[in-house]
Amino acid sequence: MKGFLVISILGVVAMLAEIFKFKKILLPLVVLGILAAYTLNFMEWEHPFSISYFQNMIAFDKVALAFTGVILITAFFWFILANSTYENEPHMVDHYALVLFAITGAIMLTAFTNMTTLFMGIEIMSIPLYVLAASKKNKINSNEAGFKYLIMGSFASAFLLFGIALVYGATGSFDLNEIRAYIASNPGNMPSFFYAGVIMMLIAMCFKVSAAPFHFWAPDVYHGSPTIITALMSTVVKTAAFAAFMRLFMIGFNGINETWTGILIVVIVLSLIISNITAATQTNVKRMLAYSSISHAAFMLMVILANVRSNLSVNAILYYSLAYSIGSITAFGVLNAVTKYGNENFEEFNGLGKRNPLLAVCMTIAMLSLAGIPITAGFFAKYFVFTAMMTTSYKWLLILAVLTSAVGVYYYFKVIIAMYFKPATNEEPVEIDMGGKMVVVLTALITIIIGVVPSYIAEMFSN
Amino acid sequence: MLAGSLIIFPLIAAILVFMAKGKGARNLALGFSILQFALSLVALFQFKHNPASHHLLLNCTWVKSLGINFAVGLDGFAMLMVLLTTFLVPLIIVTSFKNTYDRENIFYGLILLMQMALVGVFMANDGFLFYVFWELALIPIYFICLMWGGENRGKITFKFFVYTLLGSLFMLVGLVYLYNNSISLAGTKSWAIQDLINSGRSLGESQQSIIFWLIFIAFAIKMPIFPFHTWQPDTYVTAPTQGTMLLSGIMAKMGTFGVMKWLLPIVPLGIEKWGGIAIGLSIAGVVYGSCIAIVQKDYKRLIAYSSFAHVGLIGAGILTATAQGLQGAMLQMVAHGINAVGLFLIADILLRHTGTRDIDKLGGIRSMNGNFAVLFLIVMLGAVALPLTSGFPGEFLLINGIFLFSATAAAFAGLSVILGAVYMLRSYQSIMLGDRKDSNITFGSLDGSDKVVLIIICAAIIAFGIYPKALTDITEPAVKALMQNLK
Amino acid sequence: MIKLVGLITLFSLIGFLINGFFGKKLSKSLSGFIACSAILASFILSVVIFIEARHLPEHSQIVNLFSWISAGTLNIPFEFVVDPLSTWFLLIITGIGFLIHVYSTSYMHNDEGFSRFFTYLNLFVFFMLLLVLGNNFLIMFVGWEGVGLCSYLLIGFWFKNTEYNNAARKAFIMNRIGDLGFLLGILLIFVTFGSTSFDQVFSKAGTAEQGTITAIALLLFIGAMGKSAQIPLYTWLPDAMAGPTPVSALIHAATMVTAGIYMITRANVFYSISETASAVVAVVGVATALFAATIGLFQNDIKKILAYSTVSQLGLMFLGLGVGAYSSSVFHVTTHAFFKALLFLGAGSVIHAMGGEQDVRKMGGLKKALPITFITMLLGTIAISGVPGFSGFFSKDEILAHTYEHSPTLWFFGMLTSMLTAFYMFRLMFLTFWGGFRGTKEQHHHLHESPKAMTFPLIVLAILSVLGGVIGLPHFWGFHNFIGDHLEPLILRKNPSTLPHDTEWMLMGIASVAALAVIYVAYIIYRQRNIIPLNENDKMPALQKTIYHKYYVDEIYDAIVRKPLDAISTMFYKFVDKQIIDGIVEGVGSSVKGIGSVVRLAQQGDISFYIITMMLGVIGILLFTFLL
Repeated sequence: MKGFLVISILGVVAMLAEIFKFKKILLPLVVLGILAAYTLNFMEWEHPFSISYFQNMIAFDKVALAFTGVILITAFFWFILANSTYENEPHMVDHYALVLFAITGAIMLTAFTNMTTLFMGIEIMSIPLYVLAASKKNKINSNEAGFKYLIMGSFASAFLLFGIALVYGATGSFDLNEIRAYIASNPGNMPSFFYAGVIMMLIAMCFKVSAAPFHFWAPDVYHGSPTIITALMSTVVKTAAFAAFMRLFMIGFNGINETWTGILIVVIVLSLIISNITAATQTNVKRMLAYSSISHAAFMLMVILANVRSNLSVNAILYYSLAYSIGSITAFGVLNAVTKYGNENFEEFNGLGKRNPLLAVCMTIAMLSLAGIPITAGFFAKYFVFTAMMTTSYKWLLILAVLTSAVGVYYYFKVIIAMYFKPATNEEPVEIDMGGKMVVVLTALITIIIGVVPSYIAEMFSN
Repeated sequence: MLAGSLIIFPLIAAILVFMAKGKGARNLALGFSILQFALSLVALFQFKHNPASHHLLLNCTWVKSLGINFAVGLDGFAMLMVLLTTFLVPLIIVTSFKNTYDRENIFYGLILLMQMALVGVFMANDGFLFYVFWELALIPIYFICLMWGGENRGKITFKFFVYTLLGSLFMLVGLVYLYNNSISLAGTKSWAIQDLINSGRSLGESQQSIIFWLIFIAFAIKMPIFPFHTWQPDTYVTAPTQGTMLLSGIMAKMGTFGVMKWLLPIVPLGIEKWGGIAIGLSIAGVVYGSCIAIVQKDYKRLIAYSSFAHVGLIGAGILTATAQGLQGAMLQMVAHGINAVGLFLIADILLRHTGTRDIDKLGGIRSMNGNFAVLFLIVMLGAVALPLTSGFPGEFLLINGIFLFSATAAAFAGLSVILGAVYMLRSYQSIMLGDRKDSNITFGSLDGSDKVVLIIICAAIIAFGIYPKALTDITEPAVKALMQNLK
Repeated sequence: MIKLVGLITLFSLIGFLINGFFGKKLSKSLSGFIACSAILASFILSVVIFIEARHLPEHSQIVNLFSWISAGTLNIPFEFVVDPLSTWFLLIITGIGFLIHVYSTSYMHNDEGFSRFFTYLNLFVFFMLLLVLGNNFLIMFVGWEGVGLCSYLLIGFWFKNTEYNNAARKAFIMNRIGDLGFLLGILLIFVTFGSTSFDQVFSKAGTAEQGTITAIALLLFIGAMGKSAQIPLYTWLPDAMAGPTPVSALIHAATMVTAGIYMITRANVFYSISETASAVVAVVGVATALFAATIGLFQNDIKKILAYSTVSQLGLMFLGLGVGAYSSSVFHVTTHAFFKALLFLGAGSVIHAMGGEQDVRKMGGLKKALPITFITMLLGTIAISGVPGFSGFFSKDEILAHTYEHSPTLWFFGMLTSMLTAFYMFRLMFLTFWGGFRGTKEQHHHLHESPKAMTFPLIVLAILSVLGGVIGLPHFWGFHNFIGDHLEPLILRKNPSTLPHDTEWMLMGIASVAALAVIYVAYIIYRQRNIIPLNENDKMPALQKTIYHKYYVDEIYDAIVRKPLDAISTMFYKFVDKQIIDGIVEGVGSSVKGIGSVVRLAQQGDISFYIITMMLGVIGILLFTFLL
């Protein structure tokens, strides 16, 4: 909770920076703030019971704290990475503020216990992103991205709201636990519009995590938005969305799995196939990453589908989102550095192995991790999904997952091959600022470390 | 502890080599690999002295909640394979002395990493660990082939990577299934090999069949076995010589070894039901590969196909699950490992001296360098499994094992005796004998490093041919144990 | 002393190693001396052991060296056996081997590969000794393959000549075909009896069922076919004449090619049990004998004639084995070793004198120039033609007598063969040594008798060829048949001749008369009428042409084996591997891309399309939930 407050205050402070002329020290301030938030957040960990605030609108139990932690870590790296982009940006302050607000929303999503909070969280997170997506005012496809994101996003929100309304109508409550209790108390004889409501919410969430067939916005938005914003979307936003998804369906609608598992399976299958197959044909790295993010979403959805009563699922999603966020940060960091020298196509990576070996190595690690090769974090992430799925009756999904992730290897390795095999198009060495380098190297290291010793995260909820 | 150091040491060595500068890397790598060989000899001494010695075992927790342990150990099989690996790697490094690679430190570092992974694969007693090492072995070799390979390496090595990775992912599914169904003594799920074995045996035939195929595919691709082999010839040809040596000399053995340790005992019913078909495929590959080898023009490609045929025979022998088959497989793995390195070195020497590997262009080299001809002859005879060369005892036992399974199968497998002679003698004659076909091809005296390696290899070929017991003594107890386990 | 039997093999091995490693540095005379003395040493030791072995109580003693291969129930020790049969062959191999080594020191003297030659030759002797000394089928197999290797190396000794290399390769591969049969036979033996050691296997042979025994016997016989050049695996032997003449004498006449006979005699237990197998052996044998003999009629290359005669003689020996006359066959092996080695060495001496010429049409009237060669070869020819009193007469007669007892038909063909033999051998003699010289001027100048080192072996062998018969004088003459009694303990089913004496006398009479008659015919044709064989391009009757071209067997094999194999292999490579299998693999990859590029079309950036699909998705899901 304290961390949450710190971040929101930080957002407000950031807006004042322009007026009170402390732009220069804003970044350090923000970074310190995030660190502070993280520590506070961490200190709450040892609470014997999860505390809830505002008449049980929001509750920072361990799960929430863990996901908040992931979000804060990612945010920390993101800001350092963003620095190079925003140094000479006139509206830097506004950007920071917006991002911080988005993060605030994200944190809300990890901790909501009430569907109003859920809705608020999603909106607080999304609205700044609509703006940020369009923040390259003079770039046409940046504007386009913002616009599309806004339209589609509003649709999703509408569905969510509609769903909430229906559920409320049926259960007479916004509170997750009460809803759960209500379902448990009179099983089977819920009105059908209740189910419709649940499905509406499912659809809305699927949109937020950009799962097929509600994924169409993702490639265009990812592609159009400034790279650094894309990085934010595919890390913080995804993590938050999944935290919310998990809460909603594994706590709230746990009693009525049969209504939504069927749909979820269809969604997963579609996502796995469409994302990987389309990603394989991309020539633009950013688009490729966008599609790959869809397939990763599918993997995390599998865990929700598996819905193991034990904490295995929570661990799995937590680990997966961390591994994925960290990996993406590395990837986008390098991408950001490389694209300074031209477009975002694969050719741009040609000969990076010579132009900047360090970046090449980090990128390789990130790609290996996203492809799920041992001993990177990505491997364990996939492994947890496998173990979770093994306990269900949907084992056959694994075969599909295996096949598609083999396709995944194809496009991730296209980058590696480009870096080490293809002759460089322009020989000039790739420069990257100190902060950026630090972030890339650190994240790459973390990818390896949690890949070798996953125990800490993997056993976070072992009790 | 000794067991652990066998894995840790090459890792440290690799890191140091990565940091080394220029020519230093090469010598450093050679030094380390020789030390590693010495280390494995110590292990062998321990093993001879007391096979149950705790020095040969290491077991510490990795991920407790998942029942994953860093459990490695040296039984007879592992011991022999580790010896083979540590014996070949120094040789392989020496063979590179006459080629010049850029970024040598990376090159040799990767080779040592590869060694670490291979040793790990052979020693792992924990299913998860086995899988991790299995995958790890893929990364260095992929980069070796990608960065120092020949033309069109991007596409070919990539195909190799995806092909093998796909296979191992299926294996992962199979292993996870076993893990999920396993109960350790503590009552929790466990990756320990014995628990996996029990878990596998507790399954019914249909489930075991599924597991069999999930896991077998991975091994079949790695060996490779017909028809999963099409990645192999191209990769062998494109890879730098040292890469090819690692691939055919040691890595191919991961597959055969895997079948022996991670398939036979786990799904006996699956083997009973599908082993026949698997053996059929392997033997089909033996004949098929030998035939194709006959019509090859590029000597390296010829060896690639012949090696495909040889490994097929090994696979068939193992799948018969007979003592002879297993023992023969172990012998043949060593023999073929040594032999393959020799043959690929010869291919490399030919290329370096004459600028071509085309059998039709070469010729009359014997009259230019008699010693090379003799060494080449010995290696070749090893390849055609002439008695008193290392090739023979293994091949004999393998065919013996297959014969116990089915006489007809043995007859077909035996065709390799004839076909092998056909392509090996044809190529030898065309390359070495007769008159020079191309007057501007000259062949000077051998370089010191090549000579050393070839002589060592020839010595090994003859020594193990005359006294194979030196090897079988190591594996005998393990074979007995496994046969017990299968009953 | 018997314990030291290993030494016999060791000597030749040492000789091989010395010549192999230091041959280039040694002087020719020295390396020759080392090679010869190595064999001489083995010979002396063999003699000693032979004598000792005759006094062994149970006739045989096993000398175990070390455990070679062991896996599961299979355990194969490296062990030697000393018994009448092995010691007998020891004498032949080392004895003849020594003579031929001596001969070679002079014959090969001007060859730059001198030391290499003796390296191979010693290695050959080593493997040959393993072959006959081994006490289990696998050691025999080791020697078996080893001699094959040496024959490969020696046929292709002059490695610059592609034709020779092809001949060498052909020999090796054809032998390998046989070896596969042998190998499978060994495996079947192991599976049936749980061991491959002779003593254990043969003692249990009775227990196994007839069919298995027959299978084993036939598989082993396939091996014998390859090594001893029987139909259909004989074509390599005539080509093998590409090797230096001493090689032809030692390997391709006296020792290696008789390995098949050794093996079957060794395994006579199986053949005695299995009538079928014996019948097959007999028929194949007689067929080969006759077939090769006819080819011999029209050959003009002096060595080729001898080669085909060897094939034919081997056929006769197999006939003997087939009818159960094992000792007689071994007897014939021995005498054949004498006179065929003699003939080859003589031919070598002739070729030496003719400066490499091998075509009998270009020779003639050499008897003045090479008296010793002439006399010795004549004696050899008489011996092989079966003129009464000479060694060949007795051995061949014994075989034929047993055959007659077994089946008159086979006897008739055998008889025919020996008549043909007498004919083409004397044809060879007349064309070579009588009449006028048909070679070139400088050849005529160059004509000379060979040096002592070459003539000495000739003389020794000539004596043996003449007197060799004494070791097997017929029983019904009242003598005791030395070799018969010597081998008797090893033979499971002894068959002393049951023929009435007068029949035997009659057979012998027929044989003698036939031989002399045929020789007279040859005399008329090639001596009185001075007929010289036609040249290739001359017009000749169809049958003769066919025979002259060896019934086109090589061409047939080429058409039905080699070409198809290459074709299939190419098909496998170009079509199955590249197109089908790899095609499928590649296809999967490309199809993924294909589908991708289609799916990708949905992503046109048209937002209204997105919303519509999204809507459809929602509606679809709702229907899915509430209607299904």
